[in-house]
Amino acid sequence: MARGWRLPERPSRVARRVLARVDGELVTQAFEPAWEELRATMIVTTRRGVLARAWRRLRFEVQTILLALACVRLQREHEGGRRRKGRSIMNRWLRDVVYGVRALRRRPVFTLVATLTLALGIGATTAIFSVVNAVLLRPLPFPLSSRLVTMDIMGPQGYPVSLSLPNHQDWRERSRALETLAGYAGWNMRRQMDAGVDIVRAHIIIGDFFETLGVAPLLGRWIAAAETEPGAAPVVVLSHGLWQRDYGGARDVLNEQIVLDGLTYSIVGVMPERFGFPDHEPTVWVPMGTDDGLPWDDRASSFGARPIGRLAAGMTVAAAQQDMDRITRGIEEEAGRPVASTHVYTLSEHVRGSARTPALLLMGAVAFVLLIAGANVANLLLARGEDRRRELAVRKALGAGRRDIARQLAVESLLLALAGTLAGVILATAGVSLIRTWVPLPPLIARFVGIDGVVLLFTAALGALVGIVFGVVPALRAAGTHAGGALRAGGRGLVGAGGQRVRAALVVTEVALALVLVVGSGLMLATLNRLRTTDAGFDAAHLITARVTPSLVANPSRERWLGFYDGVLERLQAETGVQSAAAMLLVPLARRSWERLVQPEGVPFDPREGESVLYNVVTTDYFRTLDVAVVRGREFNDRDTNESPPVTIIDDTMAEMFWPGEDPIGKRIAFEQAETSTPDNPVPVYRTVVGVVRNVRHYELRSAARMQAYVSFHQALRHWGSALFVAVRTRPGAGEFAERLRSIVHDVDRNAPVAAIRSVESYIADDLAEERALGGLLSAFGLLALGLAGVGVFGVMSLLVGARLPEIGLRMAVGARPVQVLRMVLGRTLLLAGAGAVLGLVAAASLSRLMRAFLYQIGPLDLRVYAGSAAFLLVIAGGAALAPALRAARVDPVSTLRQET
Amino acid sequence: MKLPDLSHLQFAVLAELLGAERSGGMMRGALKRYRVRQSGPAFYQMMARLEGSGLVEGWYAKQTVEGQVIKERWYRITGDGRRAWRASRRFYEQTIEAADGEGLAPA
Repeated sequence: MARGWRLPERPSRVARRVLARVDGELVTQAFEPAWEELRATMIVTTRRGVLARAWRRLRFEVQTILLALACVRLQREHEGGRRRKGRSIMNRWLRDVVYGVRALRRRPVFTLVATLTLALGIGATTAIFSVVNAVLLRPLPFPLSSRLVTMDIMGPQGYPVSLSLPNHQDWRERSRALETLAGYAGWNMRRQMDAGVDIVRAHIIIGDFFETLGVAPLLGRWIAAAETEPGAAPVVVLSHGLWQRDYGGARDVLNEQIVLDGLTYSIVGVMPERFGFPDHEPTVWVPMGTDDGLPWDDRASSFGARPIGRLAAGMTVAAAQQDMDRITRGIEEEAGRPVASTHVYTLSEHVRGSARTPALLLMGAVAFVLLIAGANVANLLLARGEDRRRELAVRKALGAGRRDIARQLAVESLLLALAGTLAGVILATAGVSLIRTWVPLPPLIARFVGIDGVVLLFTAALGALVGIVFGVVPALRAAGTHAGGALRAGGRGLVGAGGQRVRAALVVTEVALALVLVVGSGLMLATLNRLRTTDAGFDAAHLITARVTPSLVANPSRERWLGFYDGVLERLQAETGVQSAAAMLLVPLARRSWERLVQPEGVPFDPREGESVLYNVVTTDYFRTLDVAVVRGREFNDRDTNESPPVTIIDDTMAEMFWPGEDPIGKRIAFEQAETSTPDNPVPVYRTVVGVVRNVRHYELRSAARMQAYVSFHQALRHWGSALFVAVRTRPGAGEFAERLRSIVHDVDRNAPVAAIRSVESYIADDLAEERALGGLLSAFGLLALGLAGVGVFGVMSLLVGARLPEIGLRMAVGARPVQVLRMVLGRTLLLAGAGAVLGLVAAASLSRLMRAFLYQIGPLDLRVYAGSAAFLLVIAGGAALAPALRAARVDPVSTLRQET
Repeated sequence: MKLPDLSHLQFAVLAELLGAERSGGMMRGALKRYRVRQSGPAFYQMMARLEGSGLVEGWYAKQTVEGQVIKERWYRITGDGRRAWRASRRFYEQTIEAADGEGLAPA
């Protein structure tokens, strides 16, 4: 025998380099047995001596290389002589893909778990990215939309005001930066039809509205700027939705007449389906008119008209702002007093509104979920790589290079990522449907939330990134496997210390990321809970409201208007199951407001001056019906009529603001002018304060409304004719009342439209929609993260226990008790989870500040939320490690040690 | 009459395995009778294909010689292999009979 020279266990470096060009399968099938045969031949050679040994060694090396070259020849023959590199690379990749598919199919459980994990991460990320794409990336659906701007107008009293006709005229005439300037205000109009009257959503426009937005009509023409001047012939443009709904899409609709609020309009155009502004609901656009019920002439009014404009070519928003500031200064100099100022910004910013921050927040949260899912898959790949150490070591020993093995493993992880991406897109499609119904999105944007080309491109890139990032570490580790060591390990799959460290780090990271999400969802849920239990100043239980409009279009009169509502309320009060009923101009949290300037008696009356207060016209039982507490004085009563002295009830905020420390009862304030007023001689109508009530949260539950003032329905001067809301508080157990309400209204006026029948609780739910959606999504992501982290902990601890079974067996053989083993495994788990929790708490503390704007009555560093979240996570981690720990505690030391020997 | 599925070389290889299990080295030695000049890798690739087709089974046998482990690839014919070999043999027999006696039979 070749004493002094042992046959090598693997081919020489030169041979391995030659074999690196050969497909791994061919190496296994053709080279390995031929080389083993050569080894066997060499070992039985009997000649001895130094020279003979050297000669034998040389022959062995040369023949090994010749065998390798023969393999290369075989491969080339197999490839049909195609030697072009590109084709060869393609073939190599194709082979890797085929091999990878086979390898994944051989381990279906691993493949399924890894694919599902990735699908959850990628699906959630894709669904949220579809929102980010619509909210932040996609341009508004108008030509050259980056040139569209809007303005917030600040009145000289320091309150926001609407666009008025005088302001519009001033700005349009003087602006150099704006090519066009228009405005719009939402309104409900009564439409006279043969069958009666219904309510139509309308947007009253001023100036070059359609030209500004730049979308051509489907039929007919736009409303020209000249047609929005006072005295122009009434014309109307229909939205595509209304045209389809009410006219069946008839193309001969042009020049048809439509009677809105008693005025006959001519239909001059229909807009295309893709056009909607400010939203895509069915609507009509009508020009501003002198009798449309909106105070267009009032520079100080805040009825909701908003300007929109198009920047002239080459102009920027900053230039437009400077231009508007210049105009404001000029008008102030001419008028000799402060006038409204403006803040110019893009229409895109206005439309996207507050959706930007939550969208980014959710994107950040879902990125955490993706990272956790990726870490789990990396863990699985690492574990699998260690399972396959022997297989990979054999391939390496037979000449496959690190690059070949790394490429093969990378292809496998990319295949997994592809499967995860495809499954993720399916999950995302379902997620997008949920988001559309669940998440409050800006109306103009909501319809663009979906899986489009950009989203698919993002998802494909994400899948590839996940495949590469989370597949590379396991691939490099596996590729670096030392052949001899792995072969000597005999396929027992021992876990190296390096592998343990990497996986422990992954678990710590997973726990930390999950904790950040759990803290985030905890803060939002606490916010939601506090908002739900906050005192809104009224009681929403068993309270339903409806907008009820008398059909007095043709010949309205104050008496008929009053009589209609009195009749409806009288019937409602007599109804069994009704506790109380009232009518009002505004319902709390219904996103409608009416503000008026108010001045106390004692200062010179100027209709353009004063404080802005929320102004509501209410019937006698309003406070009782809504359960608003009367703090001082009295409620309205039947003696408050048009003939009695005008009175008002104010809220405690206004009382404190106007008369701090004094009794406001008996004080007098003015909201409006008498009919005898002239522009030169305004005559105020002073109303005596007869009661003080608690502030009602009108705009949002989060904060108290600005000052509120109430006027008795029977003493309303200007607002007779408006549609009022009717509120009914039913007795508990009274059941569904909507149809009964409609029937009672129609008993009084069979043509009266009854719309928006809703419970006040549903308005509260709408107000909390953003918090609910944010809290819900963060909680869902938090739970997902917890689940994934739990799976990660389980996987790592199972592997760890598996690797340490001999050691555990030995410990038990020398006297360790099962409970001590249990404690050891759980202790190790809690150590890892504890490290993750510490990191997570630090990360949460720094990141939760981004949530400050969404929180209510809770700080971003709330100790209870942080402690509760960390404790919850540790329990989950401990629970996940319980099964491996019990397995360790039940180890039979005898059989374990026998296996080792 | 269907053409045989086996090449001449495969036919010869299976014939070698009909009697007993053989190592790769033994097979290659035996094939020298037929003046087959194949490299080791080419031979073992052919055997791998026969294994892939289920006609033979292969395995590594280990032995220790003076403290060193060596491995050899051994093969045995399977049931499918025997059937394929017999089918080929029938083809050759019938072809010879047809050529000797009545000429080639119509297809």
